Amino acid sequence: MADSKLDLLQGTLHLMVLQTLETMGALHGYGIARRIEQLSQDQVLLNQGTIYASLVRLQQRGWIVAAWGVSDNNRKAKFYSITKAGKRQVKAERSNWQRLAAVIGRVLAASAGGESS
Amino acid sequence: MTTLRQAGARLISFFRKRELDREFDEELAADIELATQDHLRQGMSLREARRRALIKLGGIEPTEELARTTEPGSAGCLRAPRRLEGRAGPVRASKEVHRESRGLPWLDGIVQDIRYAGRGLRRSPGFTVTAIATLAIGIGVNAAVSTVTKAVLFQGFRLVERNDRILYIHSQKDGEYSGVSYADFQDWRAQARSFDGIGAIADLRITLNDKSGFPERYTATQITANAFRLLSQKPILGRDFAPSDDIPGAAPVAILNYRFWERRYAKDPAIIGQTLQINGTPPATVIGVMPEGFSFPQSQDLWVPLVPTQDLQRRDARNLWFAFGRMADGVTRERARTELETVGRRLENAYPLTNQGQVPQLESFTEFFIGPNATLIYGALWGAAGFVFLIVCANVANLLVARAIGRSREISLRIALGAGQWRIMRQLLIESLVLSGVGGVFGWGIASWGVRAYELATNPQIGEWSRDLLDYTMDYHVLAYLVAISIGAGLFCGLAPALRLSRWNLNTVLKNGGHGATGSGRRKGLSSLLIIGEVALAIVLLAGAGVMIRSFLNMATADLGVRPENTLEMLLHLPEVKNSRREAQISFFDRLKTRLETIPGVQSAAIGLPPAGGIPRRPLYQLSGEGPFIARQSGLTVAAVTIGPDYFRTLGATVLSGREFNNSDGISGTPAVVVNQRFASEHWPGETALGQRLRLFDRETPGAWLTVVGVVSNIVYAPSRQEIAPVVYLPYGQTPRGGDMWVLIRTPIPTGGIVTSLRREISALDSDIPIWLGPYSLADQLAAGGLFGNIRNHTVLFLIFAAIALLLASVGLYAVVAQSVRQRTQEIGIRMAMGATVRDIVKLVFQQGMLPVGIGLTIGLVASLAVSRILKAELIGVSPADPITYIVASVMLILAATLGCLIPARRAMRVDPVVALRHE
Repeated sequence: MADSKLDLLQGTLHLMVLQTLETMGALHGYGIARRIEQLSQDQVLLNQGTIYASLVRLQQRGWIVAAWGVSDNNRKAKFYSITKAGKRQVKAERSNWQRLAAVIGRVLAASAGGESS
Repeated sequence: MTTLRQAGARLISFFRKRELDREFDEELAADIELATQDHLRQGMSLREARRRALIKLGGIEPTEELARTTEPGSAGCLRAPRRLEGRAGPVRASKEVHRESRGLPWLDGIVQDIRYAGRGLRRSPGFTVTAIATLAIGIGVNAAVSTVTKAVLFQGFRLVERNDRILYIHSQKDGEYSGVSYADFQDWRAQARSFDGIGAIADLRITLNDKSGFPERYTATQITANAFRLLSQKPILGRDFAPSDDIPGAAPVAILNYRFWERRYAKDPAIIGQTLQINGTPPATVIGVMPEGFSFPQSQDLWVPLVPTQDLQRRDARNLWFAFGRMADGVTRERARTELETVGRRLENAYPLTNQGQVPQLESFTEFFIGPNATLIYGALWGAAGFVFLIVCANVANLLVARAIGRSREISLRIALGAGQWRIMRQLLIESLVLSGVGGVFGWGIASWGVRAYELATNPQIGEWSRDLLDYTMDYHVLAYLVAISIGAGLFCGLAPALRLSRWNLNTVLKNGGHGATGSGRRKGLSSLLIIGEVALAIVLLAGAGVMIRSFLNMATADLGVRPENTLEMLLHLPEVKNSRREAQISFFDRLKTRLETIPGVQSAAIGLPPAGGIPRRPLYQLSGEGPFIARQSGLTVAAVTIGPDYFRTLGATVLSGREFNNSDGISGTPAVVVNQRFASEHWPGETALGQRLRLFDRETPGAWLTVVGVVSNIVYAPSRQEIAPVVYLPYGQTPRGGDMWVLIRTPIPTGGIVTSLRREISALDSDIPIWLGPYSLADQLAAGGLFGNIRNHTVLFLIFAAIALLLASVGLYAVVAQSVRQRTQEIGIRMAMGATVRDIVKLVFQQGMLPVGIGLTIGLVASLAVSRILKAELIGVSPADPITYIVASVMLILAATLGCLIPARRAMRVDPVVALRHE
């Protein structure tokens, strides 16, 4: 199981991007992907294309905005930052997600217990 | 909210594609740079760092990028590796994913399909032109007919709200229009509860003098003061008529038509309060101007209140043109009719002498102004255009099926390469929609041209009269209709091939090089079905056109007993006030005749009422020597025509015995009458009619005894032109009424060349008298089917539709048979190799082509019998089931079909077995 990567659930990428932007402030697309990979301890390897798709959608929904800026190494790059609406969304989704995760955890724990007994 | 926002953003992105692509390119480049830097820091070589970065960022149209950054021949030139995937499924290039999530991928796809369809259609111009032309004709004909039909059937008066709630009322006696009596109208208004109000109209012909210029002829109408209110119209300047304006003794006032105000007074607002001199009556004050575009009920120049004079108030004076009422809310037409008929019966009982048999008649706009059969006739017209449209669709569908089958390999290949069924169907549908869209654009052109032609063709002389009555503008309703039928045609035509192709068995098609899709019975079934439909529709149209042509020929060639060539007619109107004295009127026409005959080229001139082709009045009559006589009970009426001297000579009829009227038949002469041959032979068979006496009645009152002074050949006055009826002719000099007279002039000079001379001679006698109508060529008038007749135009329209249908059906048949011959080339080759003769092959082709034609013909003939019954109202002297027409129509169709089969049959005959067998 160790070498298999995690399949991302629908919608989780959005949340990860939003969360990253909320904690890290403005970031460019590549930085967002790197950050998520790092945080997942390389459990998740992202196709950069999906990141861009996610960024477009989040922009269209008004949760993030983009602006051209200069990166650490003095290069032009597009920086994304979270909006107020985005922050509201993160909050809502975070609690949703935690509740879901808790439920899943309990269900799995119960089944595991049943199997072993 | 978010969804809406996103949809909007996507739509915007769709249109900013290029800009967004560039921006994304930059972003991507920047991120690749960042990744490369990262990798460098990890100690990779520059090239490796760059390569990894490119891979990481997910193959951006990879070949191009990599080729630029790596040396030629290196492994980097290959496709971007399909790994590094966070989730299941193939890695897609970043750009592709980005574009899809940014814009509207399906819209992109459609645009792509449209481009693809455009390219494909450009590659086969023959097919494209045929299909577009066919569609343009079908759509154009329909839009044109819908414009005309809408104007005639649904529009009503411009600007008026809820036209359908307004009913036009007049009295009928024995099923004939008998005008409206002012006294009756007042009783209707007082007693009928079904209406918000009832107004009335009297025609008024005026000569106007406002001291600003010379007297001119204008059209005016007398209306009751409530009329504009009922029509929901208010003057844009000044005031509406007040109830006090239409009572006897009211100060004369007038309201102007906008166009008249613009033309004669250059929109001078100071016109309000000025006075006009109308027909020499006391000056009328202008009190208002109506809104632009409004006119009622004709192209009116001005309106004056309908003030009842002593004469008008007599109950038997049915001098009003019509009354009209706006139905109260919730009242049905049926209830209004019942109520008004009850009022009518009450009046009959109260005034039996004047109202016996007079029934108030309520009609819609169309029924009253266009004619009782209008719905039927224009409905039939619309139906015919619909048939043409169906044929067009069937034809184009057939063409598309044939084309799709020709492309079966290409399409199969695309399916094999992963194109979904829906994608293929969409492509085919879009192709046919592109065709019908372009066809629709051209169709609009055809329609505008057709409407214009129709407008000009429907008797140009009534153009002025009906200018405000019928509005032929092609507004957004017509546009919407055109767009709808264009899309409908596109979907309908595209669906047939799309459905067929989606059912293909891929393997068979690819293996057989396209033949697998073609020989199937179902394909043939579909095409044959379309052909059957086309043929059936074409034969219905042909038969319809055929009986109309025969009817028209019957009418046009009917012997009316006159020689209409080289004869002109015009209507003169003597203003009542000025020429009230009978002697003055008689003397005017006497002097006019003399003057007109001095014009070089004029052989003779005469007056008569009604004009040739018109319908005479029918008074009761009595022969001398008959017993006691009660006029009403006998019910014997006869057509009576009022004429002046030289009437028969001018019209080209023959005086069989006795004489024509001459100047001696005046007020002081012996009361005289001329009868036609039919009258003489009916009443005095074997005797001489000359010297016999008869008298006519003015309603109940007998007139003087008249002595027959001449017998003339029969002239037909009936509208159907078919029956020869008894007619009596009365000398104008001895009849009590005057006013309007038609002037007939026999001259070889065409109307345009003589009109100035006519005007000059008339104004030399009286400068206040204009030519009211005309001059028209009598031959043209009669050919058009009467003054306001439209029979010729309808016949021509049906003929055009039938010709289109015939052409399309044969072209459609050709397309189907030719396609089938092409596909069966191999089979034909085998047959020939096996010993089939050319004859057998031709038979084979014809069998296939003619079978559906035969079936369609049979169905069509049966349907024609049902459909052409609709035309019965317009047919003269021919049955709707006229066998000759049916035979001719069938023969024509079979000929056209043969032609359609002949060309492919010739191609089949020339098939060389050796070539055909190699034809893989």
